[in-house]
Amino acid sequence: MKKPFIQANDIWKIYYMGEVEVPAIRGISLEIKKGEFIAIIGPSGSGKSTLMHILGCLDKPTKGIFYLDEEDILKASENRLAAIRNDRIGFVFQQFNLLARRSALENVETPCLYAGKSRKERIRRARESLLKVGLEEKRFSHHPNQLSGGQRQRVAIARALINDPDIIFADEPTGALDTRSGDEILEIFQQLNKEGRTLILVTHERYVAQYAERIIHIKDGRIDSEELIAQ
Amino acid sequence: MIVSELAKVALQSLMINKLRSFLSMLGIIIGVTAVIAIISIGQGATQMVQETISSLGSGLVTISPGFRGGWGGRAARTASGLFTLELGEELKEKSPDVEELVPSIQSGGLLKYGENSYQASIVATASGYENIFNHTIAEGRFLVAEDVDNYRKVVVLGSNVVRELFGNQNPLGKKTIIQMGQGRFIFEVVGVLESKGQVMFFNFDNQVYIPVTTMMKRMTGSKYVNSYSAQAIDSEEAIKQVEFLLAKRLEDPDLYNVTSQEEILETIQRVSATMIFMLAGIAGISLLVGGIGIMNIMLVSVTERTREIGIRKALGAKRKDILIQFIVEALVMSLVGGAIGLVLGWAVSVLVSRYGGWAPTLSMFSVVVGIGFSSAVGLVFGIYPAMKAAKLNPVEALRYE
Ligand SMILES: Nc1ncnc2c1ncn2[C@@H]1O[C@H](COP(=O)(O)OP(=O)(O)OP(=O)(O)O)[C@@H](O)[C@H]1O
Ligand SMILES: [Mg+2]
Repeated sequence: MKKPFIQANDIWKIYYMGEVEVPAIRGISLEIKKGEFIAIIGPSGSGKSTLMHILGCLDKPTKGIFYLDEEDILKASENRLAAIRNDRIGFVFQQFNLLARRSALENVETPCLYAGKSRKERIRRARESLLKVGLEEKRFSHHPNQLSGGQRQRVAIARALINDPDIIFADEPTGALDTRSGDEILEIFQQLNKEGRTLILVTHERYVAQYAERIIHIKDGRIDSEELIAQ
Repeated sequence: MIVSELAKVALQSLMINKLRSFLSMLGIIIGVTAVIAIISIGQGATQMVQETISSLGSGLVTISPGFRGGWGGRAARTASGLFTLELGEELKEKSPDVEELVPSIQSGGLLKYGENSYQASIVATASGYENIFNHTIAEGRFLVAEDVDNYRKVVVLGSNVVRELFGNQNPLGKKTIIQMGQGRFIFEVVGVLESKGQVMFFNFDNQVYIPVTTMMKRMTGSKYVNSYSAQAIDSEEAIKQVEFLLAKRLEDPDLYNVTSQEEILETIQRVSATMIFMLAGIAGISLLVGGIGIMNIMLVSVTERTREIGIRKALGAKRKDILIQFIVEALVMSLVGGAIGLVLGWAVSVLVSRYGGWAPTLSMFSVVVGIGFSSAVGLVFGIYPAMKAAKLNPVEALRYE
């Protein structure tokens, strides 16, 4: 039988601080179908970001089973994980995580650079991507510190989109924004989901989670409950 | 992933911190400058000395007093009371491979003509000296046998001496006063030599030549000469014959020294090669220090840019991409430093060669050494910080404040 797009079974992530074990994720199992829009919600320190890093192939769980599109991620090499992140996954962070000394366009280009695309192709795609998230063309050459928070997050989304990924992970993407630009960003996400991309949004605000189809509640590294949102 | 693209990323990073990058390069710049300059100056100087010695003509054999207790120091000269004119005659007659042999006494004195005076080196010698040392007569004649036989007060001048004393006048037949110690002697100028030019610290054009007998009988009263210079048909044979005769006359072989021009050339070559390598080696140590400087700044840079590395990894950079980026940064720093050092080193050697009077040489060897060493230094000292960067865990790097 074909496995679900994302399948995680009894995932644990344990940090070791000297002798002391700090379990951040304590046996999480979940399935996500292609094209779903999921929100992961929970109090601070509950393990949302840790879970997102694992699902996003940035980190491997200490134990458990994790398949992404039928590929056993626990068995994948570091290079393979990098390739998956580059090709299939896009990240958007609360603090934008843009490269400070590069222009908006150069920032967006970066994943394309690691994909080995030519300069011409990179620029073409970066421009397309930036226009798609609604950044004005005159700002393409601006450095991050010359952009507003909302504009920065648009650049970050454009960067996440440039290699046309299947899944986008967003860790509190509106956390550093005011309500208005936050809403604009969330609308972009909604639009991306409509185009068929799987979206996993981490937040601790109920109101943000409301944009998703399904909300997964996390508490102390465990899934507390799940709820479906009627659109 | 295309290396040239990563190189561009590395270059941009260096440009962001121009002053810091430059300061980190300084060690390499100084190291390469020193290595290039030392090699170039050493080669230039050696070559010039060799050319000069060769220009004295091949087959030159010098018989000089032995040196005791190492080089230099007048005290070390022990045999000045042993070389007589008669011994010189005997050496010449009894050594079949000695074609020509002249005695000589080196001294100094003040020459005067009218208002002009000139401190010159005085060489008291005999006819034949000009052939042994490949001197060309510009005007008049050199010393002849009759000058020596009759203790004539005649002098042949080097070209500098003529210019300083006589200016544009014709010096031939003019009387010049030679002042040596307490004595003043009037000499007649009979010849002028063609210029030979400056040879390091020695200038043939500052010399004047008088008959050896005149010096001994009329001026100093000495019975001995300083040395003999000989023209050999076969240098090695001539040395053997002369040494055989000298061994019979002067028991102690330490009292004299018979060397051919070829031997001197060889010795100079050997000694200077050793010197150049030693000095270049010392300069090379500063390259090492420069490398440590680069490693230090790269380590700082990796720490500072931990977050950047985390972001790049999240976006799909592999270990090797990060590795290349940071190695290229170190390499660019050391290569740019090396290139600047090359230019500076070349400038220094051109400057020094002007004072030294030789043609500046930039050998392929020193270019290869300069560029090769600096890139090796960049690679060796860049690899550890780059590996540190490449190995960073992406999540930890992203969390880094
Ligand atoms: N490298 C680490 N070493 C030790 N403990 C860690 C490490 N990383 C995370 N943790 C711990 O794991 C737990 C979960 O952290 P995580 O960042 O996933 O929480 P979060 O739900 O994203 O919180 P927030 O809403 O504040 O972002 C926390 O208790 C945190 O202290
Ligand atoms: Mg978090």
